[in-house]
Amino acid sequence: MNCEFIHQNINDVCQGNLTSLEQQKVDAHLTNCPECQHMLEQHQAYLTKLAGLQTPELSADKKQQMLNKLNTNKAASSNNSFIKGFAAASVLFLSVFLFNQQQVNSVVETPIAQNINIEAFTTQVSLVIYVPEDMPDADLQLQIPDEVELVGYEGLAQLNWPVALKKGANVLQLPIEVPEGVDLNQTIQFIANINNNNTQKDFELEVKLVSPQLGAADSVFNLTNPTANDFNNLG
Amino acid sequence: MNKVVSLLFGNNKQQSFEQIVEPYLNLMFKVAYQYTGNTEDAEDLVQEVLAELFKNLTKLQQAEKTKAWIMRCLYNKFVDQYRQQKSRPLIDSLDDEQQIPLTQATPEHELLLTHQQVLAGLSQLNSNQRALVTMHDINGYTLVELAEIMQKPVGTLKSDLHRARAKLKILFNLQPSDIQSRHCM
Ligand SMILES: [Zn+2]
Repeated sequence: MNCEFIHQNINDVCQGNLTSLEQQKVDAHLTNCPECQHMLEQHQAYLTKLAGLQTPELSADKKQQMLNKLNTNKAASSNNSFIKGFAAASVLFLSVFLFNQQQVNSVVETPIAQNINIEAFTTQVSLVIYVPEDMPDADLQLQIPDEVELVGYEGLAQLNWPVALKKGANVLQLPIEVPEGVDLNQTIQFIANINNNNTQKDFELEVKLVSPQLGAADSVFNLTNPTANDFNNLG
Repeated sequence: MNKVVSLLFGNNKQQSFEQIVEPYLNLMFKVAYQYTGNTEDAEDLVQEVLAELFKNLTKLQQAEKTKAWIMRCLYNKFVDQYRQQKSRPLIDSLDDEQQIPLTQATPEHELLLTHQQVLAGLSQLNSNQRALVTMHDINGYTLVELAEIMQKPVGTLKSDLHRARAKLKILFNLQPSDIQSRHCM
């Protein structure tokens, strides 16, 4: 045992976090080393002083207030994360939502190399809702097709939740699980309903499943143009 | 986009933002208070960290070491925020109305005095030293853990810690007489 050990492990020495063998050796060293003794006393006083720092409690109300602030104070989405959302999606559906239109279906097709899914996988569906004006108090209802599950909502066939839609594109990413045995070649159908100021709009969203390995690159390619085309067609 | 996603995850039984961060709120606030030295700044800091974590919800949900991730975010926000303010003014707990005449000192006053001395000492350190001292010497994080949180080599942290402790030890020994002199004025 030497001074160096005590220097290097000074907090443990002060707080008694040593093995009994180490403690014995430290004790033996200290009886012969006034420098270490002095340093240890000083450090002990320092640690005791620091331990005297008190911290006020964060009240439950304050916690809730902080968390609530996040929900009312969110910044508009950045283009960056918007693009990232697309890039991450390997199953996509794309919808154009205008109140003066009847029903708009849009299918994004991607090449399918296999038919039956041998292994369950989780992927993300990006739902793009394009609205002509801000809709701060809209309600969104979504029916989940039987073939897939929404991660975290397994077994649920329908979901409702309030949404604040901004003028322009709004992306909703749904983590979905595709169980094994599902025919990846089929088209599955999500049905969504948006209610804004008692004006309702239903829309069907047809999705072709693609395994994550195959889908990612194509998705980005497919998404950029259909959006523009759809709007041209609707114009 | 965040709004829509959050509303979805807000209902999610397994992965909601609140469920991830709630267990760490007390710790975040405690450390934020140790960093900033007052309640208001600590609350602001925690709020900013929450906003940052919220923006990175997906990463947070996938993070293996949630606590280290949160602590890193807290540290980074603190250092960013206080980089501009080179020398922090002495903390408000040394204001005159909070001073206790030493002749009236009771055990409670002793505790308050120690608390004030520590805050005053910490306020003399730069933000990096301050974070290091509080995390290592108060909260018991190891240098290896702190290397991950602060993204610095252990060797650098070790010498920074050494310097910060030396400065604090001097300040702690000087402060009682300093405070006493303030009362005599
Ligand atoms: Zn020695």
